[in-house]
Amino acid sequence: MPRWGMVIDLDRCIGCGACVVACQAENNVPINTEDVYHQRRAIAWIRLERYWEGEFPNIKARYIPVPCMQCTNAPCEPVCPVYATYHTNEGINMQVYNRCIGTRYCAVNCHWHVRFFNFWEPKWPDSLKNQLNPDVTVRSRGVMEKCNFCVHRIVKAEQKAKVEKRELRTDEVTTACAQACPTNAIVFGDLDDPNSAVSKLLAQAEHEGRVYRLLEDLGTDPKVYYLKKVDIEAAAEPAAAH
Amino acid sequence: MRRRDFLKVAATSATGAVLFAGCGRIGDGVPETEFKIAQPVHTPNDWVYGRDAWFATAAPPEQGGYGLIVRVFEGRAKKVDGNPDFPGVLGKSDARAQALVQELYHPDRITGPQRASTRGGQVQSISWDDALQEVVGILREAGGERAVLITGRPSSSQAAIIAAFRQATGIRHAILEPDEFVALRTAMRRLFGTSMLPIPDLANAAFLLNFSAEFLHGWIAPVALARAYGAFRQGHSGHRGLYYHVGPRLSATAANADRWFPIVPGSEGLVALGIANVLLTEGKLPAERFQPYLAALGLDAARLTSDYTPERVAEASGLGAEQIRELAHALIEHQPAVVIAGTNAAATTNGLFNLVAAFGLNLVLGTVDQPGGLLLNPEPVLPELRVPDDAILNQQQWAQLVEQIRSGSVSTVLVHRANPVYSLPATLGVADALRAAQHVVSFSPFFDETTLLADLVLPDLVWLEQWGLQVPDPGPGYAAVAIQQPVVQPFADGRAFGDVLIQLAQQLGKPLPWASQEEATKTLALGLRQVSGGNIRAGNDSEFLVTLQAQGGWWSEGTRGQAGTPATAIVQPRDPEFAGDAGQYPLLLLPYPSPAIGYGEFAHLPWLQALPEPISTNVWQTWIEVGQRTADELGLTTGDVVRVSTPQGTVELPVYVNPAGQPGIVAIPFGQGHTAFGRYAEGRGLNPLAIVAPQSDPDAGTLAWCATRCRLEKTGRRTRLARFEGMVPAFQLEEFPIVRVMPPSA
Amino acid sequence: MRYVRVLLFVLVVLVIMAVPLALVLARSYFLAPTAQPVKAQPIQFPHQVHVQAIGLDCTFCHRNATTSAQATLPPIELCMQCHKVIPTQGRPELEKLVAAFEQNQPILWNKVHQIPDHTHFVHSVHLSFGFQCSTCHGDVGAMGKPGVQQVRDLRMGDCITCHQQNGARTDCSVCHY
Repeated sequence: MPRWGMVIDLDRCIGCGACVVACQAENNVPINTEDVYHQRRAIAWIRLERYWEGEFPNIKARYIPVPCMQCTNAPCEPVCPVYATYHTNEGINMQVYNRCIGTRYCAVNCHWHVRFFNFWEPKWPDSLKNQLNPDVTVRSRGVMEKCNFCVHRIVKAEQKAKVEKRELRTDEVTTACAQACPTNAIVFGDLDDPNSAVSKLLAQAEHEGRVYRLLEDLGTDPKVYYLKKVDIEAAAEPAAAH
Repeated sequence: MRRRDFLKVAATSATGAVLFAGCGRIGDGVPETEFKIAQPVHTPNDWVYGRDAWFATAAPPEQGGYGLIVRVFEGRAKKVDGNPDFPGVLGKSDARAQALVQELYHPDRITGPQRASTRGGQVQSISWDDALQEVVGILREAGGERAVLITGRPSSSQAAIIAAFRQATGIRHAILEPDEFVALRTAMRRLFGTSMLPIPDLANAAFLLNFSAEFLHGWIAPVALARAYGAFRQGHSGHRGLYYHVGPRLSATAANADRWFPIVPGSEGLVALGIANVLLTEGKLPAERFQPYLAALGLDAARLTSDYTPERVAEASGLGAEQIRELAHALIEHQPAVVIAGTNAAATTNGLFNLVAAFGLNLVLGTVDQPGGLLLNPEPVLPELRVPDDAILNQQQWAQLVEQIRSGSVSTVLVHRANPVYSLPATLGVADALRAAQHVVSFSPFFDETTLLADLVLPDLVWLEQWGLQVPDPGPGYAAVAIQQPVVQPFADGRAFGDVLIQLAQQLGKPLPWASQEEATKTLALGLRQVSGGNIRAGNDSEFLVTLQAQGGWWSEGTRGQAGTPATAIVQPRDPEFAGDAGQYPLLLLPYPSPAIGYGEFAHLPWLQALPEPISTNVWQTWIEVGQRTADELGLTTGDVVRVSTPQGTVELPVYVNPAGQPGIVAIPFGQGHTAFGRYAEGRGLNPLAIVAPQSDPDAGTLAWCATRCRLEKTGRRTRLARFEGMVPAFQLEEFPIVRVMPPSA
Repeated sequence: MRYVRVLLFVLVVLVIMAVPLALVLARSYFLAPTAQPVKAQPIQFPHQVHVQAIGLDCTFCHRNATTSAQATLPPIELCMQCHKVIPTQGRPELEKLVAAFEQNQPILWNKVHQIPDHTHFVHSVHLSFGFQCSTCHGDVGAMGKPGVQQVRDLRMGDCITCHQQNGARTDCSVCHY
């Protein structure tokens, strides 16, 4: 049974937003109109955040793409009164749209704010509906939605493997964001497979001391690993205190 | 029982009846067809129900012309990705490529040929036969010299068809490209003697010095360069590439630099000369390497050493002398190093000088055509695929052409995939000239500003519906051609521009060598079979074509570019000039191309409109970026509406306070301000060209849109900026380092 | 006496609360797919003639059942390969088919097996594990005019039971994504 995970190398990330658009294209995310931004209800399963550090002229703008962390001990799961959000046995934090009744407790309990609520029925002009991905459900009004590591791609690959009577091959499946990412900053794969790209990358980065996870002190054991940005002007971090 | 039914029952039977009453019918938006299955009459061979098909095609020229693959499901294009085999991109793509499907299914695509009753008035649909008849009539009447064909940068096969059409009819061809690229092509042609753009071999470089070029967000080859950038940073274990950015603004690209050197706009060339001065005086490089550099700039060693000392350069550029030495030393310490320049650097009144002085440093470093240096691209392997350089007009030539149209010496204007009314500054009076022209025919698939002024519209197909060959420019450093093939049946009743030209020539009695754009593409592609080398092995022509279409392109690593060295002076050092009196207009106005929607050519695609600009995270509009210090002096905060005055005009814009903005410089993104071009582009923001003074670079003849002074005044009004920041509560950087940073490991 | 009144009150409340629940359950019972009448189709297609009389295999027409998510209907072209030599005179259903072919009009069939919302079902995987079409669809080959009827519940309970019996995964994300 694979354990899906993602590695995001912040030293490669250039903040271009290819992942954001690729995700929208793949997952039938509604168009974020100007009104939606004014209402602060834009939906972006993976979003690009920009952080300022320092003051002019020694100022840095740093990018970080934030998808769902797919926490092993996900805080969003136990608060759902209808079990609409749960953990698959492949380690993905799934949202089951037909169970969701829209309490939004999960969104409140998510420290990463990667869960999005459909306040209205999503709308597209008729012609643009031709683009919608038939593998992904179009969520209706009143349900939560979130990044699910392109689970339809995973299921499809697994089904293909089953029909061909074989195991899933290493790195056979990847997410839309990882596929698009022009700098290869996002890598997706099976954390339990030592030959997978993520495992190799993590092993090497661990050696360099670059691996960390977002808000990992909360103890939720996220499965999205970040690799530290390298900066010649960064002060060397003191050795871990504990 | 379905969930919706449950809700319905629950809602109507319990208290919900009151609560849910005003919310519309539950289950709206479920099409009737959900409960139907269509049994088609025919199924194309390559179309299997329920299964994906991936077709290889090519990105449009303004996106770099590289290879793409498109997922097609039951005859509809779903997703665009990079072609995993295509050199340079290897399966990668960017936001603009992803959004190509939205162009295909855009709700405001022109459905078929149209005729306007009056210029700019009501349009009515006509048949293709009538439309072609009318254009034939117009061309017969106007004759060759009195007609002009204005296009955007055409694909390579379109260039071949246009060339043949030109030969047959004598029509004039004018290519409208953003000024920065016109200047860049001029500089590269004069400096290296090649009409193809060079590409920095970032993947193997140890150091990149960039003068203002937005090479990771737009520019000439966004995907190939971004891919190489990833390898440059973390692709080699043990050493990490170092990137210094010299430029007036902490742009989306500059934010990735290890060090940013803020300078006065337009002083890029001067800084390059300062670096050359340090390199020469410190004698770390052989003196003869400086010869071509000095020759290109019309200098001699004595003048370089005396006039461009770091101290003098520092004064004019806003840097410290030590910083200039540091830059020069970095070039020596980290080899191989590569230097590039562009975007704002190319758009000042000394743009050509900036580009030549900066790119010329590669000659000094000896890294031209070396691994990790600046790779020159070969000319297209087939001469037909060359996009004619002489057809690319600069600002002065556009002014002449517009004057000819106005005066009537050019009576007929055909426009394809170019939007001169929007893209050329209002001072040229393109709109008035087009109104005065006898005939205007547009081939645009969208009603953009120019198309609204046309008498006849013969809509082109979008890129995913066409045949063609694309020589990516810049290529990967060796010969490469991407093949473009239709991935879906045309969604609108359009006709490929090439087909229309071929049919027009046919009806004019001057047939072109091909019967259709498809045949032209295939005939030209078979020409590649005669070229030695190449990735495709095939026993016969049809096998060659099938393999070419399956692989998505032809490339030959053995066919590389060659450097010519400049013998005579290209350009003299020149200081930037700014329109407007410094006392009256204390601030410098710095427009910049938007990372997502560029110079406005992608403004009709909602995904790109909704993609936050990386630094400000603003969307869907135009704003003015004011540095923190300037904002404090003027008492401005984000959301305040200010009056921006330049010698050219006055507009009102909302302020975004950028903590990284240089004092004294304000910035406005290009891309908005469309008065037409579909529901997603229309009526939002402002085109900065409206307030940019008509300054030009006398050497390249291009518009210097980065050479205007301005003044800000508070209006006292506030507005809400649509932006991404603040959408989710920000993580606290001090308590939890979100973006963790570490020094490079030794 | 006091307790009786309270008890009565509670009982009445419970009955009132039970009404919507009973409605829901009743609705669910009467709306069960298997309880529905045979759906009217644009053409009364007799599977019986094609399967039992002629002996065609299911996959002769539903070509992608073993390889793709959908079993898919064949293009009318395929029907016409046989039906161009079979006389249509006096057979109104066949005339409709020929008319559709000649007018280049796709035929819009009413979906018989409507799986619940937000559910993805993949034919190929089920068939590759040795299940027969008839396991879910019943003996379609014996169904004549007016058309096919759903014989199995095919709602989530039904799916899960079968998945459990056959050791298949019952993870939500297997079907819901």
